[in-house]
Amino acid sequence: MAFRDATELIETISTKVPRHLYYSSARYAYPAAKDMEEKGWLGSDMLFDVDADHICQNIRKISFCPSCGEVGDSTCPIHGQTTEFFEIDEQCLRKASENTWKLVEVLREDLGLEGKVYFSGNRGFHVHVECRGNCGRLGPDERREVVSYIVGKGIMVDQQVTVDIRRLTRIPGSLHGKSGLIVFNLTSPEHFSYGPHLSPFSGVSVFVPFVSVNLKVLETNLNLRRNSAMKVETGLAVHMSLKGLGKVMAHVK
Amino acid sequence: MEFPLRSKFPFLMDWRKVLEELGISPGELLTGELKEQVERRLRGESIPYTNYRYPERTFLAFLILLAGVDDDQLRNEILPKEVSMFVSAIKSSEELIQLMRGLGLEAELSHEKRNNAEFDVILVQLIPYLTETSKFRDELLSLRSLQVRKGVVRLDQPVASKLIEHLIRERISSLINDIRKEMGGSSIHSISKNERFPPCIIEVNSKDQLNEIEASALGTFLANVNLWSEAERVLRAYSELQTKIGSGRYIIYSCKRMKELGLCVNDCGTENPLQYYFSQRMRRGSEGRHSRSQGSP
Repeated sequence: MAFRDATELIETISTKVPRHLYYSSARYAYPAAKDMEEKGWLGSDMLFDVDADHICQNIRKISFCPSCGEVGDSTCPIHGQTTEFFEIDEQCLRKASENTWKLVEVLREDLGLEGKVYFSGNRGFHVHVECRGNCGRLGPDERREVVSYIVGKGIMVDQQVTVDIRRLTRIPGSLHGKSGLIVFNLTSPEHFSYGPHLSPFSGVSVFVPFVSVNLKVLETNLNLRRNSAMKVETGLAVHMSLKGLGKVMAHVK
Repeated sequence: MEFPLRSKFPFLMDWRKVLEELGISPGELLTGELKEQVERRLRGESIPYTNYRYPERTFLAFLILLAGVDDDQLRNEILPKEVSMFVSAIKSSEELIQLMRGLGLEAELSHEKRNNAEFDVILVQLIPYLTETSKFRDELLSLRSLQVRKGVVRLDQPVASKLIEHLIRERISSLINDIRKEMGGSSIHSISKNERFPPCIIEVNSKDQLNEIEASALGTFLANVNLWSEAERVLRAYSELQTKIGSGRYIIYSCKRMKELGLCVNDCGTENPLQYYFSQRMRRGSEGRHSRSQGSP
């Protein structure tokens, strides 16, 4: 999709609210053209993706059947379904954050590139380097060299993201459709902490879990009981709902 | 004796301009003294071009000969020798920098001191460095093996020599390709008429547009018979395939698989297209030897 200006974009997303909101790291001469070749690629920014689940080991994974609540590693033999939830915590996000800021330092001190850090809205961080001119025109091979250098410095990043010159990335200020948390710019490591405050939703909701389990969600310890309604902060309820842990039944502002 | 840079390194010339000044076509340059000189070079003579009366013209004649000969194998044998001769002719860091600039890579020289020792470091900005070197796929030039500070890549002498070697080879290859085009070229089409090629490969090669499977079959075949530049041209639209074939991770389709893919056009009685190629080559070789022995007293 292409828009003439910001007003048209805002109008469209206000009337047809999308679950995810992305923009392309690539710049095109004719972004509205149907075929990729006709768009006329002008260059792309450089993106880095640091995911907590790639960095932390022993993240607890909870698998269950969303229909009957049966907990188990394999697909439910009766309903043929399975939902997986990864228990990400502050400590794990902190490791990802340390990697992210180390990446920013290597980009600046070694490569002479300025990276902007964003919370991805889920379980990691994005680093965005604005690339114009020859930098923007670097192809996948050249970008692979950059990732390889960064990995060599002990920083874990998703190589596929950086080498992709037509990568979509979440628009800052939008909500991550799989978590309900806001994507936002970070200016320092201290600026970030993990918790329900990352959600823009306020108030209290009634939440009905699909599974009985004790777990930690957004740094909140919860005792979920299948089909037993519970009152939780709305941000937490929306997050758990999008993670497939249950459904939001009522909301009080 | 100091020679102008272009006499010592004639690949820096503008070959069209040289011919324009002489008012002749590429083929017309390959006569008389120049023809003899390049023929001697083809036979293995490896003397600096500055030893010739007309260094640029001799080198150009040499390129024209290489461009006109429909033989990638010959080019693959000759080119490294020429490149190596040019690299060994570089006598100072200053000359190296001039050469890099002449080949389109902006570089700076830094005289540095460490532990009471003085040495030269070549400095190249990160983005031009990446643009110029990533295509060479050389571990020695890989960014992760190098020192990079504030967007500047620091090259010591061995790495800088390796880089200039790649740049020179690339420039000469590009000159040969340009000249081939200008000459109406011994292109892939003429190669496809090669009697050694199996019918399926000739058929695929005659197509204007190749899908990925066809490009893979043709590209792998060409790579296996050392027609690298042709393989690269065929695989231009499929960069991943080019990388895989380049790294030797693809083997040629068997005739059985070619049949399954609808690419087989004749029952040659072989197991794969390469077997056809090499059996034809051996046959032609023995015929050649046979006809020569018939002509001898």
